Amino acid sequence: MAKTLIPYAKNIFVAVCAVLILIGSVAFTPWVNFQMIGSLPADSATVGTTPPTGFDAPVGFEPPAGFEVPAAEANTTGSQGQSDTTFPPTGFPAGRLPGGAPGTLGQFLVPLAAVVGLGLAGFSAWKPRHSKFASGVIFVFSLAAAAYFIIFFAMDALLPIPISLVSLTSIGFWLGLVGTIGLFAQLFIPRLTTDESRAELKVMIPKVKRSGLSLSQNLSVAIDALMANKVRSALTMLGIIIGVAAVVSMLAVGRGASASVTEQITSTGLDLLTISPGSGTGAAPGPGAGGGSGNADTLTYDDALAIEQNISGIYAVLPQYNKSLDVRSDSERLQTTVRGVTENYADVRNIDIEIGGYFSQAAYNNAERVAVLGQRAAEELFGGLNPVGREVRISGTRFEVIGVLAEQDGGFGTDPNLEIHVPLTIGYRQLFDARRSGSNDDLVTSIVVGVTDLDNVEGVQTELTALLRREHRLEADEEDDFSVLNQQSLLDTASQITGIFTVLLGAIAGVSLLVGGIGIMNIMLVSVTERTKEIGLRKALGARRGHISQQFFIETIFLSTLGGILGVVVGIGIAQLVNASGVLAAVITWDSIVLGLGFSAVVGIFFGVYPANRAAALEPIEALRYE
Amino acid sequence: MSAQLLTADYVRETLMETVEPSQAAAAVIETQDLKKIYTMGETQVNALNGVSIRIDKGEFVAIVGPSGSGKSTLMTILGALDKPTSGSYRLDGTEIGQMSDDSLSDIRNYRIGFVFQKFNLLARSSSLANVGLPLVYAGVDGKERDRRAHAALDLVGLGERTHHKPNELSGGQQQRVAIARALINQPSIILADEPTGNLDTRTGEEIMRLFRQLHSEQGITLILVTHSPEIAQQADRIIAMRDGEVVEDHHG
Repeated sequence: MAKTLIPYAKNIFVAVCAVLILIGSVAFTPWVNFQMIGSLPADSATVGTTPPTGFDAPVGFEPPAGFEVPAAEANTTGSQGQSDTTFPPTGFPAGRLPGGAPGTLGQFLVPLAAVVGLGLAGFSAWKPRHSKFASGVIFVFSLAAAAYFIIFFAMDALLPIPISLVSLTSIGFWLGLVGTIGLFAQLFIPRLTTDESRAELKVMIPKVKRSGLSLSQNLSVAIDALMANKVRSALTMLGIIIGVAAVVSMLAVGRGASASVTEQITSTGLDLLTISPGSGTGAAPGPGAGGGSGNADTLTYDDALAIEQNISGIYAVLPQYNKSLDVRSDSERLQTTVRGVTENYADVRNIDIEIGGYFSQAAYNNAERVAVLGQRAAEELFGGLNPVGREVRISGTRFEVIGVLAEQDGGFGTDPNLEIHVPLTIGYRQLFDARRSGSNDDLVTSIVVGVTDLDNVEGVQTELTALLRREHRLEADEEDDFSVLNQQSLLDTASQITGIFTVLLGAIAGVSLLVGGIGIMNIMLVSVTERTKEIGLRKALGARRGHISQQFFIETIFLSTLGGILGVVVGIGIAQLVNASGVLAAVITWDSIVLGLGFSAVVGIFFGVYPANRAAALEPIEALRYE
Repeated sequence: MSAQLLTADYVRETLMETVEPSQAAAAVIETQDLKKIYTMGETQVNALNGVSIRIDKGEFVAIVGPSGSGKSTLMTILGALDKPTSGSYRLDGTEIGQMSDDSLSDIRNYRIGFVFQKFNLLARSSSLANVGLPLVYAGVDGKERDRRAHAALDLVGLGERTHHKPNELSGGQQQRVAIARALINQPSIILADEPTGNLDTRTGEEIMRLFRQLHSEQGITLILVTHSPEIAQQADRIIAMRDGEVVEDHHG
């Protein structure tokens, strides 16, 4: 039973693939539609006045992928409802009602596409003699599919925007998928002969194990052919080398930038919550902005005390007040941010002390006039001298310098190395003038809260918000007059931005890889023409179509893979150069190497199919006569 | 000489062991009303105009005729390199006229040996690799391939030159390599298209002597396409063609 099925292996394979795709696509479609409707405003989905043609109209014609995204956006912005990302699930059934809704058409087209693709693939497998047309159609579709794969899967995997979900409903995508499978089924599974003569053929042809060409034979033929024209092979490979090197190094640079941003954020502590006065929508008071301005005098030292007393699961509460003040040493003068903080500030924020020490709890409680200088502040004020033990005058008041902070990574827009830390107590008493008008409350610029359990940051955030609303006696319908910033959410935003940045760099590099692939295809086509006679001879001696296409295919893959490996090496070299230049710490990760190699292999496969098929399709007698 | 015969015996044993005992004087080739029509734009060219021939096992046939007589077309069809427009072509009793491309590839591989005017060897491969090439497509593994290629090279008297590349061999030696390649898969027929056309007279005679020797010693079925009467005279049977038809068929 199993043995009799072997000749039909290819057909069975194609059929199984197609059925899987069919099931997958049907199962997938509602979800796709759900996603699509989600990106539409709710009212356009219910009213159905805007036929969302943007999703379905271009699909049969394989537009460049980017076109569909603006179309979807046009739908969203075209109706007057503001786009709503968290749509209610009720929009789903509503979206299917109007005749032109994307759901119905998509649900119809996707299985249809799979069936048509299955038909073509099956037809070409079943009737090899009439497969030229089907192969051509399938080839076009596989071209489109590869474009979709490359553009959309890369973008979808790396961008936070769900673009590929829209394009997955495209008929071209599914046709291409099926077509590609059919194409590879044709290439790799021995062709089934369905002639009536098959039975008789068995008599004519001795039973030998038909192993076809082994990989090593193919490889040696390929290497021979490539060595025959070394300069040309090298130049061809150069396209891939540059492409892969660009992908690897660009991703490394992007990742490096991303890592440095992430590090800056995490260095301030992921377990920290920052409470700022004023509602979140107002201008966020920057550390150097001089603190309490107009509407932002809502957060007080008492709030910090209330948090310390009422909230559990926290290990530190850091009230602080910043003000830009005039600072002088004997010889120099500096206008800089003076930060009034608690004695555990440096400890909690992971700031190291370079010389001397930080102020003690006693110094804090006694409001001693001591100051700790940021590294650049120390340099500006004292030049190369050791400032510890010397005096500075802040707004005319003498402070003893007891330490210098180690260098810190730059903040956003301000340099923390220029800051001067003093005990908040003495700051309130002598420097800041931070009383809320008409009361005895001391204002703070921000309160940083350290949460003990990293998993509980959001829980504490909720508790804090509730507590502060009670403290501030806010009614239920009033907005918060403070905002709580979660470092994690800041990190998420930043990594989204750097992620997009990285993808863009990679995509630009990917284009050069694509160009390199076209170069390979070009050379392989030339090579096919040059070796027409050799192909004819091989066919005359008994090579089947599959043997010939395999040979050229492996040659292309060999070129692109070797180019890919060399490209990775060059890419790592470029990244090291970037590192050595000191501008940025490029980070090479395994996935960028895998991506570069995989992409070059895909390019090789993709651009190898056409020349290989062309070689295989040569008529032996014409090829033999070719001069 | 005895050593050479010994070799030939060895070769016959190892090369020919799988050949099925076939009926005496069985028709290897049988064509019925074979036609080949080329369409060139508006005009149709009848390259073959109803050729019916029968060639038996072990025959040595020369197909002669002026250029344009259709002898080359007949040879490409007999060699399964091209399909007839109409008519029947039975090789070893099997109708192969309209088989699929891949089936024809298999038939060329197992049943037909080609010898070309221009040798058509792979320039960058050794004699051994060139001779073994058809076995590659027959799925024979490397060791067995080399063993058989050695035997075939012995048969054509080139046992010492297995690792030379074509450009290190004389024209006659190259053609011997090509003949060894044609023999390697024990084909039903050997088709030789002007095999001496690119050789000087003396070397051409050597090659013809080799053909006659292979024919008499190994019993191969040999079909020679040529326009030279002297070459054709050496065959047992001459088929003369003109305007796509057989005009003369006589046993010499």
